[in-house]
Amino acid sequence: MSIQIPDSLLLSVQKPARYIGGEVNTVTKDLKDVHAHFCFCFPDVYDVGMCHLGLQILYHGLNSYEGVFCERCFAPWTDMEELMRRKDIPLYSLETFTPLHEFDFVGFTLQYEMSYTNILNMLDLGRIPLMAKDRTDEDPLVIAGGPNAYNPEPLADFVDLFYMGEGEVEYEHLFRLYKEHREKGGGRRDFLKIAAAVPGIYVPSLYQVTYEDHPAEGCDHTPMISSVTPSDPAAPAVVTKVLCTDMDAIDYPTRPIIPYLQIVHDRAVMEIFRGCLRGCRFCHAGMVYRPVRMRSKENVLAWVDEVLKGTGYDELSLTSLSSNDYPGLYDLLREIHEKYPHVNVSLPSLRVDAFSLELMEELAQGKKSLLTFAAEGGTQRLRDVINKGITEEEILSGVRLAFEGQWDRIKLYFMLGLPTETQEDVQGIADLASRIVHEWYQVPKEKRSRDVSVGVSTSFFVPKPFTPFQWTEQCGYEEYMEKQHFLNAAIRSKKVRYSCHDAFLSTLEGLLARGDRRTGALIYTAWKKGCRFDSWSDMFNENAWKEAIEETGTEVFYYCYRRRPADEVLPWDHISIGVSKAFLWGEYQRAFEGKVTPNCREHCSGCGIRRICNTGVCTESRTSDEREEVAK
Amino acid sequence: MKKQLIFYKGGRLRFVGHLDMMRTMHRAMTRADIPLSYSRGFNPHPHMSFSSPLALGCIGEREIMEFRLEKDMEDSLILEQLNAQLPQGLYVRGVRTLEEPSTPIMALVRVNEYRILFPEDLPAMEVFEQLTSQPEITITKLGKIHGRKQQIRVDIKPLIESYHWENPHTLVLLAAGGSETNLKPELLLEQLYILMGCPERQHEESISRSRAFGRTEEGALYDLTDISSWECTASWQP
Repeated sequence: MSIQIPDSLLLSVQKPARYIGGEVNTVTKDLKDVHAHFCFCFPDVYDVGMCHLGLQILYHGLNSYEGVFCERCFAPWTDMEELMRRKDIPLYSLETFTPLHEFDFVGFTLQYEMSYTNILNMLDLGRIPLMAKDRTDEDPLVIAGGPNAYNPEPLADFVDLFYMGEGEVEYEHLFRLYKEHREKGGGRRDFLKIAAAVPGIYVPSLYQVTYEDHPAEGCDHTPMISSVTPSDPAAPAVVTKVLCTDMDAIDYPTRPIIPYLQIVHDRAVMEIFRGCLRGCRFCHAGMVYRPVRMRSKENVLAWVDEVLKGTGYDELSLTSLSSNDYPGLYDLLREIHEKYPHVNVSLPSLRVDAFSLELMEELAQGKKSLLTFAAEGGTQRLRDVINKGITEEEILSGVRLAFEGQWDRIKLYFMLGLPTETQEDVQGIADLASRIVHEWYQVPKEKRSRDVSVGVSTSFFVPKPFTPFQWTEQCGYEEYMEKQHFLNAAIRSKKVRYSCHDAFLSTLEGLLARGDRRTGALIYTAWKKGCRFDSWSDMFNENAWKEAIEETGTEVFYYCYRRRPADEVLPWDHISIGVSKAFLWGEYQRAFEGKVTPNCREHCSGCGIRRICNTGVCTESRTSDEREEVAK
Repeated sequence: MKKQLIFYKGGRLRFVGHLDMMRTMHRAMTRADIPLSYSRGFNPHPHMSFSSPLALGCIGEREIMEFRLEKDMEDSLILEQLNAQLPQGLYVRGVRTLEEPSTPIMALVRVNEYRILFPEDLPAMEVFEQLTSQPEITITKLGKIHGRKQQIRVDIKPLIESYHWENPHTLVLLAAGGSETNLKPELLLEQLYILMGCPERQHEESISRSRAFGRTEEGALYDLTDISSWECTASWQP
């Protein structure tokens, strides 16, 4: 039953266009032809969620299946939430204004840890019992996917099933099984068992977690996990992610939904490849999206044509995890630019050299954009530890060229609190920034811009599951802040602006990222205390979170500050991203030895992904020597 | 080549603000292959302009837009192709080619006509008469004095050109509009609801902007949105 939202209500909230739907390229279907009614929920506000490429991919992908209807829902902003609660209006989908609890499936995408309280809030507003165990045949099946789903345990209490991997692969299969099951009149418990046998599907209620009988070393009362085992024969011991093996064989959403509202990134998006070659040891995305799989240039060009024609956007972003690793990138860009001179093309993380500078200026139609460098660590030693293959000389020669070309804005990104980091490394950040300013002074006055601004931005390193640093200890709050203060004092040049943020959020992010089933109580308690939109600094309620930690007896030391032993059962050990634990452990050891690991294209390091999917960069042509080594 | 079009804005598009609506229109024109001309320079902008912004929630019966083309396109083709691309809630009612030089539409509009439908249980007519019989209708709003933002007091009564009641619940209001002076009907209604003793019920009325007028040198109003003599119009009715 679709609900009515009174005009007067929409007129009393900010940006009512968030709540009306009906944008160009949205899909509607007749519900009587639908056997799987799915609501894609993004646990953040519309303006943020609509920027997400995964939403467009899944939305148009699912809607291309017969009998499947995918709608959208976003977290209502607090003003809207207040009115909905006061007027007793349930959270509804944007296509047909159907309350969430009437769907067959309600699916959340897990993009960042600090959106977890919003999931609870949306379930509650959508009138779905929060706890999976309390749901009946009348309630929807709550499913979650996305990069953070690989550690599903903190949300295991609230989610019926998790989808590990890329949405293009198994949803059609899952919905077919659902249809067959419903036609036979089967209920949700039985369906969950059927779903558990689908590749990539994890049903947490079918697994049992046991704990040691004594607290972990150095901990007050929190024991380590001793085992995670299926409690039902239908559930596999390890759930392995599913992924697309041929990026040219899958569809691309060339008619994405075009929001009315100006959203955070309001532009056409073209994904040029998935995965990353680089193997930075802190990077979650770099591991979980392996292997690198390209979309061919011919396809990219054809899709760009369709996307621009289908949307009318005058801005295009080519996305990937590292632009320069796309073979023939510059040719591709030139071709797009020649064909669409009015379209402003942007792309992330482009290496800065003479060629790219010229190209960037051309693409940005003469504008000198902000140049960014993700150096991450302040010294070469530390960059070797984290396997970040960028050298100081690369950065300095890049900025020299940029300054000679009258670029005047540089931004550098670093992380504080990386494993093995010393004061010298933090000092290195300040030194690098002043060397860049020095480079600007070296350029003759008539050639350089009138002034220069060098931005230094630091975030705090948070260890993530499925990375080589998943075993490492996270910095304590005090230590994080000390490093920040030290750096702030070390930056002397007036041309350098330093931006940073408080560390408590990073502590919490780390806690949720490496949390386990016991962490669910913390999320629930924080939500009960009114926490939501935790990733919005003006909404983040630090005290409520601290109280929730206290009340649930969550031992922060256990989750964050402890170095995990090699043989510890990690909360996510029963999930596989295809990259082996042995490889990650090896990388962890190499980090401390300061040994760099070459990227996948230079040399295969045997991460294990080939065992689940021999495709993409894993099968790119190599020299015979290399092939031999790979074979070994 | 300069074109003018009259369009309808209603349905859920009422909740889309002016800037967002302009962007929506621009994208629809791009999709419709209309060869818009762009400004030169670092930040090329399409040559598009609209009559005064419509408040959020208002229906626009006859909104005016003008734009320039790089090369000519037939009016009927613009009408057809653009309507095929516009989302539900936006609809082009007529297109014509303007003779140049022409005065920008923004500079011509002097008065807007609004039709305001009140909930039937409210004594709107009676109280409105009471409101307008006052010598002044003073409101406070955020404005600038000597470039500094502050609360200022404004008498909006002179901005009411004329009004009449179609029935006891439907007010037809002619209010100053355009780039020089502009009266947003919500400001007047806010006073009305206060006087009726139910400020919380504002927004329950339905407002539509039905026409825009220019003024001749003699002071007579003439309808800028009358498309009855245009060659290229759509048969559609909201």
